[in-house]
Amino acid sequence: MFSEASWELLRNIMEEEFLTAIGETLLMTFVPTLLAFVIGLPLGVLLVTGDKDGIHPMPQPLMQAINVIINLLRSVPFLILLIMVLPLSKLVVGTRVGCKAMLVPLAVAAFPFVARLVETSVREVDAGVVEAAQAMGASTLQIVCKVLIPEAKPALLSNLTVALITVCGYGAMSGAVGGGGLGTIAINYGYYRPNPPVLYAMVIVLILLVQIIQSIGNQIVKRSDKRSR
Amino acid sequence: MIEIKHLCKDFTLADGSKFRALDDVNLDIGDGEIFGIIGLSGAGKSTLVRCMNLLERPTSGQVLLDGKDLTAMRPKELRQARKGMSMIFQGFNLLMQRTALENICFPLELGGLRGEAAWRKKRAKELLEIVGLPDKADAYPSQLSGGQKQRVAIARALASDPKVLLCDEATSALDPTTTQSILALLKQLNRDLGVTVVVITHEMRVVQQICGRVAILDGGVIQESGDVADIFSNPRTEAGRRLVMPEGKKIHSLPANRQVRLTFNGLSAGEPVISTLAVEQGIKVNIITADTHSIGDETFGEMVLGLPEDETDAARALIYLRDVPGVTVEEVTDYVQ
Ligand SMILES: Nc1ncnc2c1ncn2[C@@H]1O[C@H](COP(=O)(O)OP(=O)(O)O)[C@@H](O)[C@H]1O
Ligand SMILES: [Mg+2]
Repeated sequence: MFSEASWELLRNIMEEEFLTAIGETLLMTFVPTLLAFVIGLPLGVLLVTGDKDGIHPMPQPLMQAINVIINLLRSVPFLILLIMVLPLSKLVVGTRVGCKAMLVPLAVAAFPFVARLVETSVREVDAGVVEAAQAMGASTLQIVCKVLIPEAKPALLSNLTVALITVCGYGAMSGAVGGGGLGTIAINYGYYRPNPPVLYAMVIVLILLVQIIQSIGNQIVKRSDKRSR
Repeated sequence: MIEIKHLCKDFTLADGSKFRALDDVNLDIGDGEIFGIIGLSGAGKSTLVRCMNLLERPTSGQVLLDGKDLTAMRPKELRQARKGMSMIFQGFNLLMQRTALENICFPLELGGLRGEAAWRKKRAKELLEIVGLPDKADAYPSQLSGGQKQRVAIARALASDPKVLLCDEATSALDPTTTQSILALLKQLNRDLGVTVVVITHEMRVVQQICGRVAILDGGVIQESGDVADIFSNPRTEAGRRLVMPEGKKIHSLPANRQVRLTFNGLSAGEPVISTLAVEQGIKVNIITADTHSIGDETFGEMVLGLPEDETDAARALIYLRDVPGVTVEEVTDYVQ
C-alpha cells in the first residue's frame, strides 16, 4: 500500500533510533511524573489539611493563592506552557532541546494536575478515621503520614497511573518542539516527510505503552487496596 | 474523673446564625463508673462527647479530666491528655488499609508511649486476646463482622491505657446479640481494668444493662440525671418519660384533658371500638398508649385514651365505651404511673 521507500525508512528507524527513542520516552514519562509527585503530593495534602475546616487550617489568603496558581498553570495549554518554561530548562539542565530539556516543563505542567488528583483522593479518606486519630492524640503530621496517605494509598496509586499516562502524552507532544523520544520520530519522519508507516508505527507503540502502564497500574492498585476482599 | 462545668456549644450555621447545641451542661462522672448519656437523635449527645475530648471546642465552660482543665491546655498538652481518654464510635473508624493488629498498634506508634515495634506487636496481641479475637490479628477490617470490628476498635482504644473510654453509639450499628456481647465486654473491662466508661446512646436498654448512673439529654440540656433505677422507674421530666416509655409517645397531639384507661379482657377481635366511636358518634379520641394482643379471636391488653376537650363529647365517649362488652373503663390522672 505504501511505497517501498517508506517501509525502508521505517526499518532503518526501528534498527537505529527506536530503542533510544523509547528509552527517552520512558525517561520523559517517569522522571517528570516523579518530580510532579514530589511537589504535587505535599501540595495536594496541604489543600485538604489547610482548608478552613481541615485538620490544620492555614491562613486562607495563602490557600487561595495556591489554588489560583494551580488553576492558572492548569489552564495554559501544554505546548504554550512548554515554550514558556523552556528558559527555565536552560537554567536547570543547560539546554532547550532534547529529551532532558523537556523534563522540567513536563514536571511543571504535571504537578498542578497531580496536586488536584491528590487533593481529591485525600478528601475521600473517611473523616471518622481522621477523627479517631485525633481523639488518640495524633499530631497533624502523624495524621498525614499515618492516616491520610496510607488510607488514600490505592487512590494515590491510581492517580500515579493517570499522571504517568498524561505525562507520556505530553512527552510525545513535546516532539513538536524538538523534545525527543517517540513523539519526535513521529513528527519529524511521520508528519514532516510525510511518512505514514512511521507515523502509524509510533502511534501504535505509544498506544501499547499507555495500555501497559494502565494495566500494570490497575494491578498494583487492586493489590494494594485492602478494602475489598 | 470527668467534670463538666457550664458547658455551652454554639454552632455557626451556613446563614451566619448561631445554633446552641449544648446549653449549660454540668456533669460529674466518677472514677470507675459506667455513666450513660441518653437522648433522642439530635439531642446533642455526640457534640457533648466530642466536647469531652475537645474534638469540638466548647464555646464556653470547662472540661476537667482528673482535675485538669482541658480547655486551658496548649495543643501539645491536649494531645497528651487525649491519650488518657479513648473513644469508640458507631462506625468503628478503623484504618481500612491496616490489619487488626496494625490498627491496635496505631496509638502505640504515636509517641509518648514507650516501645519498639516488637513490643507494640506483643502488646497488640495481648489486647486482641482481651477482646476475644486472638485469631484475627492479620485480618483487615473489611474481612471482619461489625461486632469484630468494634472489638478491634475497643482493643485499639485500650492500647494507650486510658482512664476513660468514651463510647458514642458504640452498639447502634450492631444487631441485638452482638450488642449484648459488646456491652458485656465493656462491663468486663470496667470491672477488670477499672476504666471509667461513658456510654452515649439513644437506646434505653443499653443504659439499663450496664450503666450505674445516667443523664438524660434533650435539646442540648441535661434534663435530669441520677441512678438508672431511679430515673427509669420514675422519670420526672417530659424528656425522661419520652425516653423511658417510648410506647407512651403521642400518636396525635390533640389536647387531652381527661384520660381513660381501657382494659380489654376478651373484647371480640375485629370490633373497631375507636373507629366506631369516631364514625358513629363523631367523637375523636387521642390514643396515648396502646398495648394489646389477641388470643384466639379475643383481644386483651390495655389502651390509654385522651378524651376530647369538649365536656359533652367526653361524657358521650365515656358512656359509649362503658357499654362495649369486654372492656373496662377507668379514668386516670397520669398515665405514666
Ligand atoms: N458541625 C455542626 N454544625 C451545625 N450544627 C451541628 C453540627 N454538629 C451538630 N450540629 C447540630 O447539633 C445538634 C446535636 O447534634 P448531635 O450532637 O450530633 O446529636 P446526637 O448525637 O444526639 O444525635 C443537631 O441538631 C445537629 O444538627
Ligand atoms: Mg450522635
